[in-house]
Amino acid sequence: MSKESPIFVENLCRKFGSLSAVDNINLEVAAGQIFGFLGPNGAGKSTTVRMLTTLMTPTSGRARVAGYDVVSEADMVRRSIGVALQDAAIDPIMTGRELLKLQAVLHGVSRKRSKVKSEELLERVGLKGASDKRVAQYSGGMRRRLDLAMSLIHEPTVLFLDEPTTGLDPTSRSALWDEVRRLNKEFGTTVLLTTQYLEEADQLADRIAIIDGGSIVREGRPATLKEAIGDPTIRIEVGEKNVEAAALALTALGPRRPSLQGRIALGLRGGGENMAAAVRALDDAGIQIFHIELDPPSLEDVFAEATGRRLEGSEKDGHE
Amino acid sequence: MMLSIVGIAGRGVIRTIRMPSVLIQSVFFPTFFFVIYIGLYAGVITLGGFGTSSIENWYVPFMMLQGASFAGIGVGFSTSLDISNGFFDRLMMSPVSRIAILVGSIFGGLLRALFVSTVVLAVGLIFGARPTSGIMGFFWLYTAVVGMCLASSCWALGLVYRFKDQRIAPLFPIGVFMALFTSTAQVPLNVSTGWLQTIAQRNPVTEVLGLARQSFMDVGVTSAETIDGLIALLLIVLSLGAFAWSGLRRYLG
Amino acid sequence: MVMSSAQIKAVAARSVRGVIRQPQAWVPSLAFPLFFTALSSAAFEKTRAIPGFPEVSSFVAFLLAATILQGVMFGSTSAGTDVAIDIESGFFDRFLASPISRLSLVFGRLAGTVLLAAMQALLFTVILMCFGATMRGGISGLAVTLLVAGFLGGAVGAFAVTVGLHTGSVEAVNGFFPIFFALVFLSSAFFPPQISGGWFEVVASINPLSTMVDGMRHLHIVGWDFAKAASAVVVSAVLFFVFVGTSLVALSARIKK
Repeated sequence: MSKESPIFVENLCRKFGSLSAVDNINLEVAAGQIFGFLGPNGAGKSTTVRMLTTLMTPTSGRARVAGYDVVSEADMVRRSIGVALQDAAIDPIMTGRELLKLQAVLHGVSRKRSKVKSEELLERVGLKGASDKRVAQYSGGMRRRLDLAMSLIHEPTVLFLDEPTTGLDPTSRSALWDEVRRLNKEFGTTVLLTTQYLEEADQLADRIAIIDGGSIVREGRPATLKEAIGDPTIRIEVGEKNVEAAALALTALGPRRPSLQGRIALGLRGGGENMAAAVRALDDAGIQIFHIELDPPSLEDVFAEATGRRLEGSEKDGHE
Repeated sequence: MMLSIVGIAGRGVIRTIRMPSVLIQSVFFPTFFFVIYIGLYAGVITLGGFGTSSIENWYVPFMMLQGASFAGIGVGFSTSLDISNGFFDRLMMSPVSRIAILVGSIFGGLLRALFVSTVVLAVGLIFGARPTSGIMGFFWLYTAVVGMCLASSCWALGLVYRFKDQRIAPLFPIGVFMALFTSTAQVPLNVSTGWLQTIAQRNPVTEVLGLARQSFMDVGVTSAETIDGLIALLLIVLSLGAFAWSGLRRYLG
Repeated sequence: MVMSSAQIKAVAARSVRGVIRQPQAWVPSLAFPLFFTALSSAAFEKTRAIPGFPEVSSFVAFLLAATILQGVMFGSTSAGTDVAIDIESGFFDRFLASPISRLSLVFGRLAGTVLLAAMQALLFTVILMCFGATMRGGISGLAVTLLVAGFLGGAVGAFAVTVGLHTGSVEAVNGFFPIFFALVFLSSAFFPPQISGGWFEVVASINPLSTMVDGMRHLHIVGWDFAKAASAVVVSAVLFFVFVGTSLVALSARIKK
């Protein structure tokens, strides 16, 4: 592995008592990449980010961010990174502009530069009109955008976004995605993004790592990971009591994949060509079909295949 | 580092100004209790041994220190809030030295303490307290005010850095209350009895009160009282400062 | 809807259970008065020598009535904060949506508060008697003490419930705390006003809490006196009924909202 990569993690562990929140993870993020760190709540995403952003000391292993060690050169790491935390950690009593100014002072940005940069960032994240209002009056989306602006005031080379869109409405979410893309494209900022949304990782990330139970279970480009899954997923709604019978009837057609209650999902060997065979098999078994769909391999399938279960709150939950 | 301290302290000042209810509360209690105590215990002064024949003179310095101490623990409350909403993590992720974070946070409380104690002093003067020792008396009085604010800030911060939880907040005032009231806050050593007398003799706050009260005592400022008070104050501030500092270092654990 | 004793009992039981299960709500109202009593008795023991101080065996004996008053007044506001919490959380609407009598919502809660206040007074009496407090009025003196504590707890509880029902805000109920503080301190609870003299003596003499304290204190340190006992009971009972009245008005306003 190259030690010049903006993020380089080797055998990183963090224990809380006997519990391993992060268990021996390795990863490397290349310069200018958007890296998606995907996993359910409690998987170890935030603990990893806290270690990489110097907020927590690793139990063992090491990590370098922007070329500096997160333990022995924590101060240099802090100078090089921008962080937008989960829940937009901002003081509601202060105004957006005051918070930007404070952040600039904390990062040693000169007063002149801070003024120019604040205006530019406020414009950029669409908060110019609200910059003198107290943050308590901001909507969730506005807070996240301010948080992003604050994390950029000192022009960091590495940006950490910890679940940046959790709790946001679809419009605000897509606006934030656009901004992250623009940043990455225009300034070549390396971004490590943690998320529990498959769609977010799919939309934004050049590479992703799936973390589960403190360990990285898959890592690679989303397209490559999806390709590796191979067959598309067929999802058939058969009613709760018929799921096992349907599974038996479809055994020959492909391996079963995790699905919602009352449905059966499997990786359909041969893809669309075998869809009719699946319908026939269920018909022969006297099982009624309420709904059927065939999807190309998705990150959800990658996650399911890697962990043996579906990701809570994944986009498919809403659609199926 | 200076700029960072100013930045963090400035935020403390902005918060104080924008949350007047907190400021009003920190002024209300010491002034209210001052007025109550001088009325309620007016007759107690006849026992003698207080170093003054004015109950107002006896209570003003104590109430100023009480106001300053409670203003100090306000720093703990706002930091516990910052920790719960994640803002404190933002400070910790900035390249600012940890000492600047500690000093900057305390500074906001210090300004509040000076304001509160000055209001209490003004009320005391209105109600009849009469200073006896001129500028030097006031100098040591305000030294004690600043010291007690620093001490109580460090006490609250030490707890909040260690426990990282707002539920620890009720302990802030309890600690301050215990430390203040088990001293010569209400009556001098020769008037107190039993366990209180035993503890008050050993409680360094007694010496700090001695330092502060010089401005209103009949004998005025004496070097013995000043030196004892300063040593006690230094001891309290340094030990609680170490408590806060080690808590901050442990925060990242 | 008829108010049944079972309903009052159920609401009272919930209120008592709620208090017991939240030690943070009742420990301070036990610990602080006791700490303050310990502190004041050690600080002011020698003031018994000041001319005009009532004949009493110890400062602790003098402070028994004050300890009860302080504990009951601070402990009983939880009735109001509980109502406000129920309103804030929507639990109060669940009560309203049930066939339970509206009156039992208030009476049930106050029954719980009265019971807890009397228990608190008994506990303080027992503890302070171990440290030198006396009950010269005997069993009748104790009974009157518990009765006054119960009425006072009920009165404070009903006042807090009134505020809780009117505002539906815990903050608003707690906002009255300094007023209770002031009332207790501006009475004869902690020091004989005749020694304090000046404006304090005037204020303490018109504070109804002083009548209660003086009545109870006489039973504690002197002996049985019907007139003193009656005045304490009457004042606390009047306060109780007045504030129960205001809480019922507030309840009807809340139901109409």
